[in-house]
Amino acid sequence: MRRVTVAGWGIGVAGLAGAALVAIPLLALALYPGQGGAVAESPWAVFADPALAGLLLRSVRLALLTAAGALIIGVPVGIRLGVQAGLLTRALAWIQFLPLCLPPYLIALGCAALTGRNGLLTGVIGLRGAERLSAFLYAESGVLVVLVISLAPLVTLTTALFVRMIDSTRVEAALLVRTAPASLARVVLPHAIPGVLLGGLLVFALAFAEVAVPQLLRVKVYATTVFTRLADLSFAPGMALARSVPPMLLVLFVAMLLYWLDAAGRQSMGLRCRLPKAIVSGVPGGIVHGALGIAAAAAILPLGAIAIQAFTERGGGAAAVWSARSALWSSISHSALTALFLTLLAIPAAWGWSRRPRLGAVGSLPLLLGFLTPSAVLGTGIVLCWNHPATQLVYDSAWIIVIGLAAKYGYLPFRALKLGFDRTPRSWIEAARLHDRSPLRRFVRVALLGNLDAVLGVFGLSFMLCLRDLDTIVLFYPPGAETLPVRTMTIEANAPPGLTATTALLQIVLTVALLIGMGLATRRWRTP
Amino acid sequence: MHCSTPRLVIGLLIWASLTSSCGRGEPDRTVVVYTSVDQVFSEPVLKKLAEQTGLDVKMVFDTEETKSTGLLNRLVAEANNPRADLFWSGDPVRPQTLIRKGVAASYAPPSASRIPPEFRATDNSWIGFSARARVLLVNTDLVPAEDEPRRVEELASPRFKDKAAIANPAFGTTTMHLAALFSRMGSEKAVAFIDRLKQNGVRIASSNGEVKRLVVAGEVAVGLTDTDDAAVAVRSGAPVRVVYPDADGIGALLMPTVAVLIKGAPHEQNAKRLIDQLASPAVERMLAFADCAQIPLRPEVERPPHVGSAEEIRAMKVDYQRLAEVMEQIHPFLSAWAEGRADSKPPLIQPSP
Repeated sequence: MRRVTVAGWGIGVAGLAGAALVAIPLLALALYPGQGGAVAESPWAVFADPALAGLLLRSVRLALLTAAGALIIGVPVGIRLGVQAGLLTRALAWIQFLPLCLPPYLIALGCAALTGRNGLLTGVIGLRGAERLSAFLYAESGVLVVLVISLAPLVTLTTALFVRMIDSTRVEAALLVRTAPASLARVVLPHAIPGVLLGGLLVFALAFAEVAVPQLLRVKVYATTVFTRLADLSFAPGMALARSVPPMLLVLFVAMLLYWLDAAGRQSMGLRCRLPKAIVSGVPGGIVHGALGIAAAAAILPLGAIAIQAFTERGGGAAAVWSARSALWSSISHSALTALFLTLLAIPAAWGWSRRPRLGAVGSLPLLLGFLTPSAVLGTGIVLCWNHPATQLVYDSAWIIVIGLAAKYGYLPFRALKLGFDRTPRSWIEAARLHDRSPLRRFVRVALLGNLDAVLGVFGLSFMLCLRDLDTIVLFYPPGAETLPVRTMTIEANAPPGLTATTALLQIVLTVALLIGMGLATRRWRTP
Repeated sequence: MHCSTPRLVIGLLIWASLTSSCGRGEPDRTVVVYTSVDQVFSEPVLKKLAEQTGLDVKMVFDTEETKSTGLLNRLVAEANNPRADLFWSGDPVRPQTLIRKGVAASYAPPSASRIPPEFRATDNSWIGFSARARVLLVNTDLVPAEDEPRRVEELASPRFKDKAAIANPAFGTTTMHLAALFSRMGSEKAVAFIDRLKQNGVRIASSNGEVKRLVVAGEVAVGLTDTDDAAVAVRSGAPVRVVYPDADGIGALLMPTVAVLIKGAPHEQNAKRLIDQLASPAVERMLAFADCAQIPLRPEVERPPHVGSAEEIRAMKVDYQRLAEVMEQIHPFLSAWAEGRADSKPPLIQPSP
């Protein structure tokens, strides 16, 4: 009988996690009895209703525009960061990354603090200008700007990651016969395409599923109608699931395309190497610094507005910080626990995926589905699935948050760690096989210790995703265990502006501290 | 020793997460409250009641944006195995969904015996207290006292052309107000009224708070808003006056906050104790003096001068259960109306007596 390898076990872990965390809750929704059940509405009924189909198209357009905006900013910056970056470029890039680690809702709040009659910009651009800006913000244009600011760094990140994985010998060879711009266009760019597309796809999916920002800015989007099918005056989870199917299929199709591209791109990945300095001259500095400058300014302005409000407006100060202490602790403890859980799951699963890509891709499908499913739908499925007397201990504790967040975001750390493991050349594993017979020990020494920076990075990524989550957690967080984003959103109505701003500022400070900590940790344990 | 720190961290995290769960086996003083009353107003009240009663009140709040959906979603989804003990709703209409779906239980708190019967369910499935009202907020610099509007329908009169504002009728209390008008006037007259409003250039603001800001700034002369927003404007010293509309007609719409005991509540006795306290005169007084300036439903409860009394205000006679049904019927039409689309026809609703 053939022995099951560590990679095989890993794929099994991914499949089981996906089934338990995502497939069963979605099944619970699909089988929801009665009028609200899935049988009450076909997924294609969306296209029979002109208003709904129009809304779906508008939302797809908004998500596409967000992805396009993110690509325009993210690709040049990502390539530059991937190739080489000076101190100024890195500093600007860190500022640009900050909104990605925060709930987009917070960026929208910051933008709202800048515009309007009482906005901070009123003194600079005048009353009329501030009101025009406010009208621009409280419309589809505002949602687009907020989402581009929040999600563009994702494209930067994936592009830079893929550029860094290019075998530098190929670039060196190209530079011998071509100019730097030509080498960049013919060698670097084609190999970065899977990263660019991955970033674009993630941005599209996240922008399409966003509920909190359009609701704050009073813009009707398709995700909101899915959400309202779950409650308004007729609770219909099955119908909400049915309405989620068309957009999920669309994204799934693009994801399949990506798997194909990924498989093609993987052939070029060798040892992680720094690209030759000469290639830098191929990256147009003006475009990069222009894009980075705009992105950094767009990130810092709303966050600055929140900080100013926290210190100057009524309701801020120490009392506001004290009142948010429980939310602060909830945010840290739940995010850390979920990140730990996801990292421990991702290590074997991503190794399996990296070693056996086709099987791994199939095994990770349920988790991809969880990521693509609108939070409200997935969250309701989790409630239906876990809220039983037999599972009450889990449902009443913080573990339900771990389960919910893992179902929603599990795919991303798995995928990110798989990219890290892809750097491990087969020759290393073969060399280790000569010295050590135990597959587990080989796995720990080669895969785990050889990629400690990637493992830490994935822990940090998971922590960030959980820390910034709002749409998922708001559906089932245990009473009294609200997190900072939830508290910011629930107190926003009618609270003194200083109180809301201080709570939001706490989230910003916590995120910055975490980013610094993660930066230092990955530096300490960087893979040689 | 090398691994002791990570192990300690992992242990601490697991311990911390487990301790945030409901304590089982201890003398149970827990009560779980889901509330759609603004957190900034409801949290101090619930904390005060927790102090007074010794109950461990665990709270889940709703958001301004999802008030119509968020917590109802959770309550209905959890109906088979409820986690909440009581729902404190910011309005009397949403709980009707819970009642219709069998999520609510009956309870008549002794402390609420003096609440007028129109603000409580005959089957004791809900009890109302501390209300908001829909009012006209008038800018006194732009509208002399003799020209002050007295009825909601006057917003469509030529003297307020391009000078009136309402919040988006697809959201919140404005939907409820229009549902009340549809219910009282019938759909034919109500649709004619809102069409006249549009022809008169009424400004559709993003929220009731925005309506208040427009009136305070003098950008419009009059706006339709809630008493809590109007109270903020009055307290700020802005040149505004509050008019309770239709005092000589159908009356102003009153929207009490409502407490509902959840059927199968895990801590039923504690929930009943808390409802007794919530529906008490002391809480009505607390909410009258708070920034939300809510109107006590008991005439004897002390209130600040800028808060009206339920006795003085001619309250619109409404059946909140019917209002919930009408809201459901007219919502698609109102959304289309607000967006300027003509693809949704108004439902036929007969006027109620």
